[in-house]
Amino acid sequence: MDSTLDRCFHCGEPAGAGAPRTGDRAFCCSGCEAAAAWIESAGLAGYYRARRTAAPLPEPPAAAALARWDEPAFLDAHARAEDGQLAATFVVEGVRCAACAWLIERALAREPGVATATVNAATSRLALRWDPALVPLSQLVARLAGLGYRVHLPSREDARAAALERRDSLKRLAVAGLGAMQAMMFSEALYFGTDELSPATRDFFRWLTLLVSTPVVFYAGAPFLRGAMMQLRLRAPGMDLLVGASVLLAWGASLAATLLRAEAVYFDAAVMFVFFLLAARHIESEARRRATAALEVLARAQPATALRVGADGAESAVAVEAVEPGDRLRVRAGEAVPVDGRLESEAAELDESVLTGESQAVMHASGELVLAGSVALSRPVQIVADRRAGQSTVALLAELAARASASRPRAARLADRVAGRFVVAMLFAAAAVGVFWAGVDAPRALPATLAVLAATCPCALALAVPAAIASAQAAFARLGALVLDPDAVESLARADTVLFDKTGTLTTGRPQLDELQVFAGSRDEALAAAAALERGVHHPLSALFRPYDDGRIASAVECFAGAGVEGLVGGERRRIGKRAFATGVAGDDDGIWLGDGARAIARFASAEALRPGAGEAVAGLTAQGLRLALLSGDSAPRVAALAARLGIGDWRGRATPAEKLARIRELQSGGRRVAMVGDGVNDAAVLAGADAGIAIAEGAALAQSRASVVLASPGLGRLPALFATARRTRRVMRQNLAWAAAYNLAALPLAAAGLVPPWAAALGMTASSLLVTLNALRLARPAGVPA
Amino acid sequence: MSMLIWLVPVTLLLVGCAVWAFFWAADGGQFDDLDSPALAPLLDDAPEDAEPPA
Repeated sequence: MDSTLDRCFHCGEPAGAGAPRTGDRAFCCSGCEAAAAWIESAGLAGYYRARRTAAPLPEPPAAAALARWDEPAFLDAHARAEDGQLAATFVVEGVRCAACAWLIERALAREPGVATATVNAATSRLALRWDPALVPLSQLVARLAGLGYRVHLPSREDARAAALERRDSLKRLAVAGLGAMQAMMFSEALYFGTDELSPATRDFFRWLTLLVSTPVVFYAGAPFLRGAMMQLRLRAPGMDLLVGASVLLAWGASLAATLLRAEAVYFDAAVMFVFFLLAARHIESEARRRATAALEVLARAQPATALRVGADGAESAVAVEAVEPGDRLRVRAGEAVPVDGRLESEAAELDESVLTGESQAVMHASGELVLAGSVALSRPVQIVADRRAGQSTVALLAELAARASASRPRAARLADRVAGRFVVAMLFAAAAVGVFWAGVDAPRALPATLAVLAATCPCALALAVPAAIASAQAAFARLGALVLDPDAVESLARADTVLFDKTGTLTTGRPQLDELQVFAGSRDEALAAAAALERGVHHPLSALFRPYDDGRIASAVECFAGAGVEGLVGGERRRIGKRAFATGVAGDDDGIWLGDGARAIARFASAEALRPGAGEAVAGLTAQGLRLALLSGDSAPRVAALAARLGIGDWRGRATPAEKLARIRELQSGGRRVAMVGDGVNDAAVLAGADAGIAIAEGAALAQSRASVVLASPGLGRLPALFATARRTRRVMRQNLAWAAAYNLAALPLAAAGLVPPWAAALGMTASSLLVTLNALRLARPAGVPA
Repeated sequence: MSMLIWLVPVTLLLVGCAVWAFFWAADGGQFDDLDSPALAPLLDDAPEDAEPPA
C-alpha cells in the first residue's frame, strides 16, 4: 500500500520528509510512532485491522493538567471507594468504533493496579476501577492520551449526542418508511400486472423501484451495513452481518435483473427488511431511553451551583463541588437542594420525588437531614451542608446507576453468543440451499436463498432479553428501586426466602411508645405528667412523650444523671426514670417508670418505630408464598417482640454479620434462593453473600453498598411489587426466548424448501422482532394492573 | 398508461417533499421531546423578578 509511505500509519495525517519511520511505516510525529510501537509491543496490533477510521492524534497533556487527576479533592468528588480501590465513570473522547473500545480496555488492563476497565463504544463511557496505591489515575489518563484518547468527566454534552442520535434514527426510519411504501406500491404493479405489462412498462417500473429502494438500502440501512462490515473485520459474526448480507444480496440481484431484464426482482424484500427492522430497533431503543431517562433525572437532579451564605449573611453563588461540610447554604423556593445537609430553618415541605418516586411532598423538621435533589416547595430554606456534592445520596445513586447500565445480564450475553454461532450456521445453510436449488431448479435458487437469510435472522432472539430488561428498568424505577446488577432480576424472581435485618431496615431505629401500664390515676394523667417532666430534657427517650404534652407545667425540675428526672406537677412530686429512682422499689428495670418516689404510678415501654410499609411488605411477601426470616444483632427479646408484631415466625437475635452470612450459606446449601434486605452499612458483606441483596438507601451507606438492588424510597411497602415485577420480567424473557427460538427453528425448513417467497420471509422475521419488543413493553406497566 | 408519465414524477416529488419536511422538523428538534411540551400549558410561568417600584 502506497498510502502508508506518505501518510502516518497511526493517525493518517500526512507524514513529512524528515518524519520518523519504522520499517516501511511512516509517522507524522514521534507521538504516533510511540503509540504504534506500544500497540505493537503490547500485542494489540489487531486494532489496526479492525479499526474503521484512523486513530486520533496523540497529544501528551501538560503535567499540571495531569496532576489535577490525582488531587484528593478531585478523587473525593468524582470517585467512590470500594474495598480499597476507587471506581469512577469517565467519557473518553475519540472512541469511534468498537476497535477503539477494545484497544482502550486492553491498554488499561495491562496497567498494574487496574481492576476493571470497560468501555461502551456506543456511549464512549469508560467504567474504571483501580487501586490508587498501585497506579495514580494521572498515569492511566496519560496512557490514554498517549494513544490519542482524551478523558473527561461525564457532562451534559452526552445528552446532546443522544438527542442527535435519536434524530438520526427517526430520519432513517422516515426514509425507510416512505421509500418502502413507494417500492412496495410499484412492486405490486409488477406482481399483479405481469401479463398485461409490456416489457417497456415493466422495465420502467423496475427502474422506479430501484430509484426508491436505493436510498432505503444505503441511507436507512446504513447502520446494518456498517455493523456488518465491522463484524466482518473483527471476525465476530452477528446479526448485522446476516441482515446486511440478505439486504445487499436482494438489492444487488434485483439491480442485475433490472439491467439484464431478467426474470424477477426482489426490491420489495430488501426495503421491507430494512424498514421493519429499523422500526423494531427504534421501539427497543425508545424503551431503553425511557428506562435510562429515569436514571438521567437522578444525574441532573443536583444543581451545578449553590448559594453559600457567608458569616455576614451575604449570599454568593459557588460551584456545587466547592461546598464544604459545615457551609451554610440557601435554597430558594422551587429550587433543588445542592448537597445533603441538615435543615437549619424551620420545618419545610420538600419534594423528594426524584429520589424516591414518591410524589407526595415530605415535611422535614428543623435539624433533619434533607437530601440533595429534593426541591424546596413553598418557601426558601437554609441548610448546613453535611456532605460534599460527590458524596451526596443522589450523586452516589446516579453513579451506581450509570455503572449498572453499562453491564449486561448473563441471559443477554448467552443469547448474543448463541446468535453469533447461529448466524454463521445460517450463512452456510443459505449457501447450501442456494447450491442445492441451483442444481435442481435454477430459477428458485435465488428466492430460496434470500428467504433463508431473511427468515432465519435471529434478531428476535437477540432482542428478547435486552428489550425485557430495558422495559423492566422503567417499572423498577417507578417503584423507587434501582437495579444495579442486571442479573439481580433473575435472582429476585427465583428467591424463595427473604431475610430481613432489624434495626434500620424493618425499624427506623427511632423509639416509639409501645406499652403502657397504669397503677394509679388515669392513663392521660400519667402521660401528661411524664410529658411535662421530660419537656426540658434532652434524652432520646424524652421524645416519646412529646405527643402527649398538654401544656401543664412541671416546676422545680431536677435531673439525676443515670436515674431520672424529678419535679412538681400540679403541686405533687413526680419522678420519672429508673424503677428504683421513681418508685423506690428495686428490681426488674425494664421500661420507664413514673412514680412519686415511693409508689409506682405508671410504667412505659418503648419500641422502635416500624419503617413505613414494613407491615404491608411482610404481609405481601408472605402472600406471594415467600418464606420470611428475621436476622438481627439486637438482643433476643427485642427481636422476638418485633417478629411477633410483624408475624414473622423464623427469627434469630444476637447474630453477628458472620453468623448472618453463615445462616445464608446454610439456607443456600439447603437449596433455597435467598434475598436479603438490609441497611447497607453493617450488612454489606451479608448483602453481597445473598443471591439478591436489597439495600435501603441512606446516604453514605450507598458508597459501600454491595447490594444488587437499592431501594431509594424510605418505605418498604413496595417490596412485594419489586418481587412481583422481577417475576413478571423473567416470565416475559422466557416467553420471548421461547418464541424467538421456535420461530427460527420453524422458519428454516420452510424457507429452505422454497415454500416462502422472500417478501414473506422478511415480513415474518420482522414481525417476530416486533412481537418480542412489544411483549417486553408490557413490563413498563406497573405490577398489579392485570396484563 | 400515458398518465403514468405525469403521475409517477408527481408521486416522487411528493415523497421527496415529505422526506425534506420530516428532516427539517427532526433537525429542528421537533421530535426530541414528545412528552413534556404537551404539559407546558398546564404549568405556571417561571416566577419573574418583580420590578422595583419606580
